[in-house]
Formats: sequence, C-alpha cells, structure tokens
Amino acid sequence: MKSIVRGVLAAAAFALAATGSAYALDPDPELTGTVHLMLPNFTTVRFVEKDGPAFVEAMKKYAPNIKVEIANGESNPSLQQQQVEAAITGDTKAIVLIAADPSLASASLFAAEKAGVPLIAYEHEASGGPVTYYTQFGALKVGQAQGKNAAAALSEGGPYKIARLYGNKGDFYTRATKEGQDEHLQPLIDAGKIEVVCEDYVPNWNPSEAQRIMEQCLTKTDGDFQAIVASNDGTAEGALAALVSQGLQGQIKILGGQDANVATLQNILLGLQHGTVLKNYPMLADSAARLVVAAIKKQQPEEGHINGEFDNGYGKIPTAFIDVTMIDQSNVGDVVEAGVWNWADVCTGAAANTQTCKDNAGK
Amino acid sequence: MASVERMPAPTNSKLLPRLAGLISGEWRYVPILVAIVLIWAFFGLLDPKFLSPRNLSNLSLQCIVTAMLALGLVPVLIIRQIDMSVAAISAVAATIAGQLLIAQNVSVWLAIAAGIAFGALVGLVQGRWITWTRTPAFLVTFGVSLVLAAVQLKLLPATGQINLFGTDITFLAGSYIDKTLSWGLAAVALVIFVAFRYASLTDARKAGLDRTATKHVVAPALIVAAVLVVVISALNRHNGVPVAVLILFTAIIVLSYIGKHTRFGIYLYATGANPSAVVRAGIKVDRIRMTAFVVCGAFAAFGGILAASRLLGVSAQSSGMGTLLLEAITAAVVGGTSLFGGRGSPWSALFGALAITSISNGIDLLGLGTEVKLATQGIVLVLATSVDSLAHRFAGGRQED
Repeated sequence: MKSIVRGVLAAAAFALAATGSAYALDPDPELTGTVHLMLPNFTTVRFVEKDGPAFVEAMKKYAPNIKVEIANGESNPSLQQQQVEAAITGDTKAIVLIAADPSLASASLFAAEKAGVPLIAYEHEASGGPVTYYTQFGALKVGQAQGKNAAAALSEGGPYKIARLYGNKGDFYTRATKEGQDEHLQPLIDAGKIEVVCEDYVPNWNPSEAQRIMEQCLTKTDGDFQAIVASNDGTAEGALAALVSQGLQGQIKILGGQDANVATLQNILLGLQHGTVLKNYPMLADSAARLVVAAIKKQQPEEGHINGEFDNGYGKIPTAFIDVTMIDQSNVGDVVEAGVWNWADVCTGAAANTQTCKDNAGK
Repeated sequence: MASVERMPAPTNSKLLPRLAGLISGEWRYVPILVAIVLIWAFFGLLDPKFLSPRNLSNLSLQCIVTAMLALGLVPVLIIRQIDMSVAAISAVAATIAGQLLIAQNVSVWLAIAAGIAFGALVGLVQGRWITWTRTPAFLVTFGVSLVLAAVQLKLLPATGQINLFGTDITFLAGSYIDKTLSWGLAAVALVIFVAFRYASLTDARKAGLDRTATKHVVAPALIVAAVLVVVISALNRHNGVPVAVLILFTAIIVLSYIGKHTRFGIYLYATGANPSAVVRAGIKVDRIRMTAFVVCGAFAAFGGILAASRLLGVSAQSSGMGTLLLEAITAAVVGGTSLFGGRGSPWSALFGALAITSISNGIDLLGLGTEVKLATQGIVLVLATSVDSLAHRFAGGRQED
C-alpha cells in the first residue's frame, strides 16, 4: 500500500515536472521540409536507443509535417562532417548535432552558418564555431547533484575516508563534473570531515580500469575507507566489482554515479550502490525539438527555456541547461516513468527478486 | 632459414651473437624473469604493500584475462601469423555467454561452452580464409574484429549491458581453492613434473647424450617446488589460490605438453620455423595453421568470459575495449614468443602478462596517473618487440627450436 502511494506521488510529481518543462507549444502544421539529427556513434547506446526516437516523437508533436532524418557519425568526425555537408546540400531546414568529437566539429559549424542553416548543439559541446542554440544536461549540474548527494550521505558521524574516481583525464566533461562535486565536497574536506585516501582518473571511463584502480586503492589502504564517489555508472560498476572480489560489497558505500545504466539501477535495488544521476533523455530531446521550431520560425524560444550561456571557444551560445534527477532506491520508478527504461529491462538477473521488482512485476 | 632475411651482425664481437643466440634459444625466459624481478623490486621499494599477499592476489587475478588471450596467440605467433581479432572475439563470446545466462536462463556450463565454441568457430573461419586466399592474417583478422564489434552491438540487449552480479558465472574469477586442497594439487603437479623430467632424461640417455640426474631432474624439481611453495603460501595468506589461476596453469601445462610431446606440436613449430620444408615433408601445413587459429579463438573467447566474470558484467564499453588487444600481443612477445615465428611457448603468455600487469598494478597502487600509465605501456611495447628483433638479428636470423 505504502509503495503504491509513493508510486502515485512520484508519478504525480513527475507529471507536474513534465508539463512544467514542456510549456504550451501548439503543433504547427505549416512547417514542412526535413530536419537532420546527427548522432555521434553506436557505442554510447543512449543516443541510438533513446535520444533519436525521443527527438522524432517530439518533432511530431511540435511540427507534424516535418520529416526527421537520422545519420550516425560512427565515432568518426570526418564522416560526420560529410553527413552535415550532405544535409546542407539536401536543403535541410535545421541540424541537431551531437558531435562525434566535440573538439573537431568546427568545420561542420561554419558550413551550416554559411548555408544559413540553424544548428542546435545537443549534449556534446560542439566547439570552435558558430552555434544557434545549445541544449545539454550540463556536466556541472551532474557533478553538483553527485556532490550534494555524497555530502548528505556522509553528513552524519564521521570523519570519513573516501576514494574518488574521476572520468577520462583531459575531457571537458570530466573537469566540469569534478568541479560540480567539489562545490559540495571541498568544504567538508577543508573542515576535516572527509579525507580523500585515493583519487584517480579512469582512462576512457573504462569500467575494467576503474576496477583495477579500486583494487589497488583497497590494497594501499588495507580496505580502510568508508565510501567511493564515482563519476559515472560504468566506473561505479567497476568499483563494485573490485569490492565484490574482496568480499566488501555493502561495507563500503558507492556514491555518485550518472546515466541510470540498467546494471547500476539493479545494483541500487540490490543495495550495492547508493544512487545515480538520471538524465531524462526525452526531456533533452523535447528541448531540442522546441529550439529547432523556434530557429526555423526565426523566433525567440519560449520564456525561460534558454537559462544560461556556454562559451564554446568561438562565442557565447544561448544554452538550455536541462535539470537532472537524483535516483536512489526510493525512486527507481522515476526512470521508468521518464521512459528511459521499462521494468522488464530493470528487473532481470539478481534484481528480479527485489521487493521493488516484485511490486512492479508485469508492468 | 629460407624466407626470413639474414642480416649480418654489425659488430665483430663474438659475445653479442652468442648472447643473442642464447636469448632466442634456451635462455629465452631469462630477460622476462629478470624484468619481473626488477619491476617487483622497484615497486616493492617504493611501496612495500606491492609485495603484500593481498596485492599478489590482486595481481594474479588482474593478469588472468591478458594471459588467457596471450596464451591463445602463442600458437598463432609460432606459425608466423597474427590474430588482431582476439579482443573482439573475447567481447562477443562474453556477450553470448551473458545473454544465454540472463535472457535464456541456460545453465552456466552451457553458456560458457557456447561462448568458447563461438570463439573456436571464428578462428576456424579466419584460418580457412587465410590459408585458402593467402591474404595476410593481419588484414583478415583486423577486418573480422570490426565485424565482431558490430555483432556484439546487435547481440547486446537494448539496455547496452548485461549485469552478471549474483549469477553462477562469477565463480570463474571470484572463487578460491580450499587452502589444503591447493597444497595437494601442488604436490600432484610436482610429481607429474618430475615424472616428465625423468622420462626425458631416459630418452636423452637412450639417444646417447650424457646427462646427469642432478642437473636434469633434481635441480629443476627443486626450483619448481620452491616457486610453488612461495606462490601458494603467499596466496593462502590472503583468500587462497583463485580458481582462475588454476585454470590458467592447467591450460598452460596442457598446451606445453601438446607443443613438446605431440606430432601436432612438432609440426606447429616446424611450420613457423621452416614452412617450405614442412610442405616438402608432406605435412598438411594448412591444417596446422587452421588449428592454431581455432585454439587462439577458443582461448580468446574463454578470456572474454573470464573478464565478464571478473567485472560482473558485459557492455560495449567495457568488453574487449581499450588496450586489451595490444596488451595480449605485448604479453606474448615480451614473454619470449617471437614475432618471427618458430619460437615461443605457452609459459611466455604467463610471464609476459605478469610483467605488464605488474606495471599497471604498481602505477595504480602509487596513484601515478594516466600519463605515466600510457607512456609506460608504449615504452614496454617498443622495448619488448625490440629485444625480440635484436635477438633475432644478432643471432643471424637462426631459428633455435
């Protein structure tokens, strides 16, 4: 009963949030032609599986007579450039670009500007050229959510010893995530409430590397620390594997996380990881669709949609920073509500036997 | 040597060619064992925890996947070929095993067997294609690795990953042998070793060679016994000997036996050292080559399954990615298997993997960071292949085995 009430409340809260973000934008059947969505690769599954379809949906909602073409840059910036050039030649109305390599998108940006095609940068920070609008979750926001959550988890008792895992060294995303975490953790470190016993960057966010780094941290400290703050779910999963191989799962907390990976959600349900930061992909896709419509109509986006700016090295781009949600054992359902995964995806393997999965069986 | 180019040694010193001859011959393991001792001493001095039982236990598990892939590469390198698809095979095999286990509820043994069978099949197809078309193995296997990357993306569920936490497959990399039992197994291994040494001693004497029992049986047995005692007592002081380590040693011993004591093994080395002579002797050389690729594919697949068992999951991001391919090739070569064919043994996979894993283990323990890790990996690769090439060159391109 209690969980039903909680589910209803969560659903209601989410519905409010969703309507709040979607504004009142009527479908405009006058708009015609083609809009191109440029995906970066096949390896980051969310772009192909989630962002792409969600963007097509959202465009249908706001401009039912516009056709959406999707191309995939296959991790190859020069292939992506060819795709952008082809779209421009084909008289596209607007391009939504998820850069295959954010630092090598400049030529595409200038090509679009020269042809007078509006270009909306999506999630990846396409740098070194003109961009009409930029919509992203923002690594800083993600880092802040991780830091706030970790600080709350470590607020009582202590002092605590922690290990920190950052992303790939040299990435903008890694730097901004760490900066966000530091806003909440640095004061505690300065006050002596938290001591960082190990910290390292994980090459390419690779979970196997994260596992070895954590195994070595356990060796170095003889397992004497209480929590790990991981910068995304892949590295958190690697850290968990290190704890499991030493029989320490559950004894050392895993904080942080982002992406709401299915394996991580399962680990959260099993009590092996504290939480993760959910990026609600349909919300980002919805924002991109609204920016596309505004750009094609040569109108300003609705009031409040653009809530900041981002300097991409060429100029300050009007940017929509989309809110992120902290997920823990109590609100895994929000991920399902957001349409990121469904219960059948989450409730496989060992997680199928958890109470949450039993409550939601068959949904 | 028919097809390997002979380069004259540039110096007149007789010491250099002799040393090079020894290194490419019976002293093959000396450089790598010296390297391991130096690496361990270096990190041990910087942080004594490097040599703690806990870290040696870490090390034994961290090197397993690389060692398994390198082990499969050994027969392929011996026949003067290369397989660039081992990391991709490992990823797809792990995906197959994981999907069968989670989505199809297949038993863990069947899932593992299916993964290994897939690896062997890919090896067979590659081997047949290479021997039939005479395309360089480098290109064929590289192309296949791209196809396999696509296959993995197709096989993974829509969520992009498989969580193996709490499933039976985790026993492979996550369980340890009972402490008393490992002493028993060590005793059995020692008895078998002595029996083999003794048999080869009597063979040598029958062939009229003058060999003493002390030098040929007793001394090696004492060395093996000492190593076993040190390793097992160190690992027993932590969690015990990992099951994965036992599997690796068993595989190495079986492959060594095949290499030394079976007709196939003798043909395998001969194919690498002098293929035209083997063909003239009426041996079906293509069949030997194909078998080498099949063995390689099967071991790569098993390595991938071990990796999944260790990481408790499979995903496009974690499996077969990063530097695994290069590490596996480096391990085999740094361990003493020649890129020029004909020389090497399964033990080189273990020694090489242990050496390069020790480096990354030590760097992570000291927290030296990504830059040091990348630079060291690169330098080790260049040095390792250079030692092999120099030994080959100064030995006048002679094949010792």
